[in-house]
Amino acid sequence: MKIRTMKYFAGQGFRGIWRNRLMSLASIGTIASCLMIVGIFYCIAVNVDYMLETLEETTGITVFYTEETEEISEEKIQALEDQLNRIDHIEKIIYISPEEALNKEKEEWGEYGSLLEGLENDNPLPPSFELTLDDIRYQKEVISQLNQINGIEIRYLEEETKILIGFNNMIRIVSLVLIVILGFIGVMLMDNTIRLTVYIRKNEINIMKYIGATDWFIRWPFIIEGIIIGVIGSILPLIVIWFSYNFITELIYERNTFIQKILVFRTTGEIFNLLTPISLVIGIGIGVIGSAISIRRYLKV
Amino acid sequence: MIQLHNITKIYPNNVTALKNISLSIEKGEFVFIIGSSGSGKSTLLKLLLKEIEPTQGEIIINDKNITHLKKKEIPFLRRKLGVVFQDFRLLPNKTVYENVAFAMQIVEATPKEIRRNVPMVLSMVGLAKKARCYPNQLSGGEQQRTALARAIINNPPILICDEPTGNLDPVTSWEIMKLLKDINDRGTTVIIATHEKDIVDKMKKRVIEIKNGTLIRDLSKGGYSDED
Ligand SMILES: Nc1ncnc2c1ncn2[C@@H]1O[C@H](COP(=O)(O)OP(=O)(O)OP(=O)(O)O)[C@@H](O)[C@H]1O
Ligand SMILES: [Mg+2]
Repeated sequence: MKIRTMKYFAGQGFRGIWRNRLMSLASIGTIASCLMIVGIFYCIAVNVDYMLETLEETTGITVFYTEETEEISEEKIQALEDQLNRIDHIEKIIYISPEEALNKEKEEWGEYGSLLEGLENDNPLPPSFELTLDDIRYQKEVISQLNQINGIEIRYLEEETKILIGFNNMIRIVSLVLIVILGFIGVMLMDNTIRLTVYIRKNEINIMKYIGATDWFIRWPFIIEGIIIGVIGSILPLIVIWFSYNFITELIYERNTFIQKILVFRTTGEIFNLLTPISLVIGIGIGVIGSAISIRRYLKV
Repeated sequence: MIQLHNITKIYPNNVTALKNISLSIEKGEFVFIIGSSGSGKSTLLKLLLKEIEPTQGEIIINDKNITHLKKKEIPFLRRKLGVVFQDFRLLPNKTVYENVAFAMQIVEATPKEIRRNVPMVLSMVGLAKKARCYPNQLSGGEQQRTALARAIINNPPILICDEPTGNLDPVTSWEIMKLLKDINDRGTTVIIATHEKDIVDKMKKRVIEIKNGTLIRDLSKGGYSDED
């Protein structure tokens, strides 16, 4: 295909959109709302995932013996480590000696850390193991296996993890359903839009056929029309999401310093790295599929 | 150049529009196809353009059997056939210039070729001054000349006209006919379906007469009817 022909197709595509602007607007609107939802849910899902990841890293599972520290022998610790090693989905096992535990506490207490001075000789903190899972979704499974080991206590963030995982799954399902429904509506509206253009250009198309236009020459402007509508329909929500995302994350960071440990967000750049191509693909996809259906049905070339 | 072998066309509603027609048209000929309304003239031309398929028989154009042409090949056949319709079929939202240039865009001519050839053809058909007009600003004769310019802009070896003067007054009809003759003189094969007795009589060209779908007369240098 030659460049001047592509220019002609693009011109025809834009003209088609302009000639039935109401329908084009409706199509753009549907694609945009579809992608707005995709975008919003994507942002939420990615961040929930990110929070889970952060949770996995910062708050793993901690296990320790309930007995008095002095009674715990080296062999017992070694035996526990061996048992832990046999459990699936545990990625990392870190041994934390009472001394290390104390130092950590001091750090966390910050300026009040000096209050803990002197405990070195009579350290109440037991030796413990910090476990990191390869995926936090297996937490329940691992916990139930840990429960079978006698004489240890297990500490982990059960509630938070449960909520996040449930939330994550719900978002995935809801967004998938919405995308399918809206995508379907988008394709149908697109089909109608292109049908109108085909109808308006019926005369022209007939004449084109008589003077030797190939089928593709006749089809391309309609496909381009679909592509243009798809691109506009995907860029609009991207812009809106860009600004809202910046705004909302900043707001949360500013206001809620205390939950920052769990409420961590991906940067806008990280979000758009993937959201932009996803949106464009879906938007253009809906546009092109819609016009392709219409071309097949109404454009008897 | 064009050969029909035993062509029969029966429309889906069982109307037999053409019955067992055989004829041959050589390169550079000027041929009238005449016959009363409903005799099958347009059907014959539509068969050449592959707008409809023959029920029986074979059509050969330029040594190529086009009876069963792949859908993909039809546009390329049509590029060899310039067409002029009785109702002009111009694009109302394009100027005279654009209507003609459009035919060149379709075959992906360069802008340079378009800028060179369109004015040339427009002045040949006497429309140089109307290049910027829209079809609704033109007289019937001017519209027909635009259609003619569009039909010949890509230099097709064959020009097919279905009642090119049907809506025009006698003087204008003659001007169009002279143009067609000029085009024929340059080597283009011209085929015209018409009712216009006067013109056919005066032109003294080959006449093929169809009656109720049957070829009843094929005369070189003929007139409209036997009595002449
Ligand atoms: N698409 C069609 N479907 C069914 N019958 C048709 C169709 N087109 C033409 N006919 C019939 O075929 C016959 C020949 O029609 P055609 O149009 O070829 O005549 P014509 O010679 O061109 O007439 P005119 O001089 O009025 O244009 C007529 O009886 C017509 O009714
Ligand atoms: Mg006719």
